[in-house]
Amino acid sequence: MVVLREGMCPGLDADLVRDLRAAGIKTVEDVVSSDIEDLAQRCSVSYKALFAIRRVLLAQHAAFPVSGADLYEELLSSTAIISTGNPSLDKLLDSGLFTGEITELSGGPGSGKSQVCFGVAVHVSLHLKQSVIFIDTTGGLTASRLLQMMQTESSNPEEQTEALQRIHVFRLFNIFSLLDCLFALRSGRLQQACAGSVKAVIVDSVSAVISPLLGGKQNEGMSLMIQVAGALKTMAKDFNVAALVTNHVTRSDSGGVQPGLGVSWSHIPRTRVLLERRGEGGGGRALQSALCDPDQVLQTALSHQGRVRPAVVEPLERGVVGKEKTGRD
Amino acid sequence: MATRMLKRTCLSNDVCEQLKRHHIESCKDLLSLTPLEVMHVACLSYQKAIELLQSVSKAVAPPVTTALELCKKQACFSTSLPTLDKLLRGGLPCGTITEVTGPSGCGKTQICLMLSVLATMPKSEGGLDSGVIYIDTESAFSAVRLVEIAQSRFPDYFNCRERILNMAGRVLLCRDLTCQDVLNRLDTLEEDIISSGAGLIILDSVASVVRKEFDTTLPGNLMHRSDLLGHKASTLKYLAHQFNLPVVLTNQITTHLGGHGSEDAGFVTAALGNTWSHSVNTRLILQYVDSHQRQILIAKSPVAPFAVLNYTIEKQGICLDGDDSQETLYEGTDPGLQSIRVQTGFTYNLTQPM
Amino acid sequence: MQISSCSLSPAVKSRLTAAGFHFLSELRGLSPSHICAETGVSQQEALQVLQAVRGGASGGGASVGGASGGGGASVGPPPSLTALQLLQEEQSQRSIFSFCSQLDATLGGGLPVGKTTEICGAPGTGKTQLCLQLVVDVQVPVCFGGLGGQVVVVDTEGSFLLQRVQDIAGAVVKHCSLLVEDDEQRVAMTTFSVETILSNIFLVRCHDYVELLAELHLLPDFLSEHPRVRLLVIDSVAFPFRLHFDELSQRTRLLNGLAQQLIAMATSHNVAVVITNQMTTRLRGGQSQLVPALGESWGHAPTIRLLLQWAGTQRLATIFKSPGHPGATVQYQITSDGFRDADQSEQPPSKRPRTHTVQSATGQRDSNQSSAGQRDSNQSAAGQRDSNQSAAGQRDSNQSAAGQRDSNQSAAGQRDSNQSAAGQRECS
Repeated sequence: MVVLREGMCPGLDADLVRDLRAAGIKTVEDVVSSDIEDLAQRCSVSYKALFAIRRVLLAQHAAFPVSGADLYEELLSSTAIISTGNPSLDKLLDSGLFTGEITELSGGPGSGKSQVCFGVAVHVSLHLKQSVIFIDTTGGLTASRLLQMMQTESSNPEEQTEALQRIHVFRLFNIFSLLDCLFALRSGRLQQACAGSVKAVIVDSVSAVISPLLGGKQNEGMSLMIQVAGALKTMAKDFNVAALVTNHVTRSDSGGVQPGLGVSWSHIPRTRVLLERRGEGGGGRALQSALCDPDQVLQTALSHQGRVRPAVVEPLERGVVGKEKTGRD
Repeated sequence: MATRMLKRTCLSNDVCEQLKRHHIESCKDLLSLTPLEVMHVACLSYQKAIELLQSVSKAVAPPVTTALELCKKQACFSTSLPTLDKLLRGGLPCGTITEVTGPSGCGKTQICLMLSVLATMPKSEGGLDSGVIYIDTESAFSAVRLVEIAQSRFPDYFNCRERILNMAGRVLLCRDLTCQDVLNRLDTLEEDIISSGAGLIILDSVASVVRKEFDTTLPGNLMHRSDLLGHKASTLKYLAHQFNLPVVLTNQITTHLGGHGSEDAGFVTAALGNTWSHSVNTRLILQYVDSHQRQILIAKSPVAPFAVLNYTIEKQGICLDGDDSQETLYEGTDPGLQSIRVQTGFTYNLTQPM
Repeated sequence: MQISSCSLSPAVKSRLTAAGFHFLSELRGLSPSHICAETGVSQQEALQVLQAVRGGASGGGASVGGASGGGGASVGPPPSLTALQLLQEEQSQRSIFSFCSQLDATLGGGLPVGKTTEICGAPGTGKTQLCLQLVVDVQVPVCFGGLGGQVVVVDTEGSFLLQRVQDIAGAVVKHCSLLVEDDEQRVAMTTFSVETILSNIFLVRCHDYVELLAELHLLPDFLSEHPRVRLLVIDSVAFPFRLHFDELSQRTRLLNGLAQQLIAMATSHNVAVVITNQMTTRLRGGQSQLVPALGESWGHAPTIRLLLQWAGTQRLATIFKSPGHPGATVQYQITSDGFRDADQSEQPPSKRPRTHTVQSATGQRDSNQSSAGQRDSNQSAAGQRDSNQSAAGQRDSNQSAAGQRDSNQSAAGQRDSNQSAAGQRECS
């Protein structure tokens, strides 16, 4: 809803704005949706002038249609695929994280979500030599762990130092700080704050700040959650970055685990991966993806050197979706 | 403290009225909301909502002291069993819950009676010089036995009838035979504590009422039972801390079935479950060695190591065997799963009639 | 920034959007009376709106993250850090050691400051004992390798017993006094006694969850007034929250909010937060299992989770969840002096540097791993500590001069289990 202001378009002067306001027309939507003849009579303005104003306002504020072919061209030229650093996870995600989209990792406590996030950050900053924005809401980020992971990849200390400098960390613990941060990044400070181009934005974890808001006798929590989603999506699209978020799990009535934050959030990420802890290693299962083959299972081993090492990728049988092993220690 | 009304705090009337429209009248109601909910009901920005919560918190939060100030308070209640006192670093700690558990006939009620006598004795004799509140759920309290213990254990002190009457007069006996009665009693106990000048609370026994009324095989009962026990535990802890007195409870035993597919048939352990084991601060287990000899095990204690003491029940109550310097330490395990020896057989000798 | 995302009151937000304002930037440059006239909000609210507008706009360069709590004026937004700066901060920060060197080794020197650690375990495993040990250890003076800080203990169960703290404090003081080598340490010992230890412990006793929440709302101010506090212990968080709760979803919301408050406090005031949790029985498929209480979602709240459990008569500590260290299990015991290693081999203090490897019962971890592979060792009084780790990858490790732990420990473990409650114990 955009407020009518004088000078917004030729012919819209202060008197006209005042007259319109007196008639109860305050925003562009009101102008567009009201009857011009009736309005012309009430405000004693000429019908032609109002019609012209309305056309200009429509042209200014309406969305511009784009053809599918143009969209496809744009997608091909601007989307990049960022490897996570783990070939088997890449295979599960259909070759990696897509820029312009949100990927979600969910799992129980200790299942390795933060480790995968660290792995991605290390890979992007060390190998791809791009900047990473890491928003930490749980306090789980330990720089020495990042260093440890880097040390297994490269033995050159200068490289490691540079790579560490490319990872920008924000520590925020409530929803409003998170929103401030995301909007600030979106409004262009992304490129400004980080010398060099940012290729990945990691939020670990998004459920920690959102789950205290959901439920209860108010609805604002849900709307704030959707705004976070919106901010992340537009940031991903506008700046061509890959967004990776982590989520917690809840137990459904039947006893199985499912990602948290409810059904409303489930539509936000393009790809969702559910990590489970089984014995010594971990497991990952893609839940939903518009791109890759769903119900693929991969076994990974989280070694102490930190990299999520691939073991085996086995596709689950089609149609046997319910056969999930929820074994955990 | 939590039930304090918002009107009585430093909040302005407008805010109170606003909150009242949403049925938020006490501090507890307000503090149970998340900041976003407070923003919604009080129509405030996030900053202001946090400030509101802080100002209400000031009215509710308990005071901060340092540990040094704890030194000034009475720390322990001596049990008159020297070895036990030494292990417990002075006796039963004041302000905490001590549980005595064991099979039937082992001496739990005897210990309770003995401690009641001790509490009424003057400080010079090692007592607390205070009243006792004895909540009896099994009708096991015997005044005759109380007097007998007093006279046999401290013959010098209780040499005249007056002192005995005085002692008996300070033990306030409450017979509550159902769970709800016990809860009601606990909720109103503060006044009794103040009026009788109590320095010791005994609840004999916690398990009997709960187990009588809750059949845990029925669904939902287990949770209800845990809630009830949790409520009791927190009320007792509050009373114990507020008035700095020791609380003694008795518990029963149950059979813990062995794991799935294991060979052994299970073992006997303290009743009321794992959550209850968390709630008590000290657990003393009584068990049988043979029909005459019994043992006290210190199974859970913040100050004492695992130890075993032998005792018998005499006319004067509990008597420890062995010298003071001899302590048997044992390798302990989870106090909720410590196995307890019960009496398996009976030996008897016909007593010749005099 | 959108109006619906900012932290103004919902009523004001709805008035602004009804009047046609969609973005905060549209309000820039308007006077309060103009806003009142257009939107119908009160003057006070108009002022708040303008402050929000300016606050958002003047965010500046890399600053993000509005204030969370605090007084009326907003605290300056925290600047972003690079991982390198974070690394340097972490390396200059000491951890809080317990006297169990194996546990410290698996945790990389001890409990980290600035993170939340949860200790869960069955009753009687020693959660409170470990907490009391940490309460004393954090006060060890800096020259002995400690942090020299104060402690806040929030007790909800009544398990804070003075005699026990006195015992543990006495043992630590004695241990330190045996290690005095130079003047600085001698001077420090004059102010390090059982009384001073007790006076540096701030104790709060909460009886139910409302008092606990109230106390946590007031703690940030308390921590600002007492900047020397380095450790916050909440023993236990489970007990008040396991009591009768009308709806479990409310409990989950409150717990999640509590978790965020704790980690925010830990980070902004640079304290280590230690929480104890209980165990609950969960029935699954007819079998009952002991799992940490407070539900699944609480599992995500603490950064590090330690599980203390019984294995017959042995006590084991397992690192359940930690983003910085791999899972490992070590054995420990509780003596009259406090929380100690399971094998108490008497060893004389040695000044020779020694490397230290830790073997745990289930997993191996070679802690002498670095890309450069150099090792210097210095001594400190009571435990080991990694410090000054540069990006180049060198590693210094400090070791306890008073005792070198026998580094090869068999999985079966030897354990000196004879304890005497009354007798004193030479700690090695």
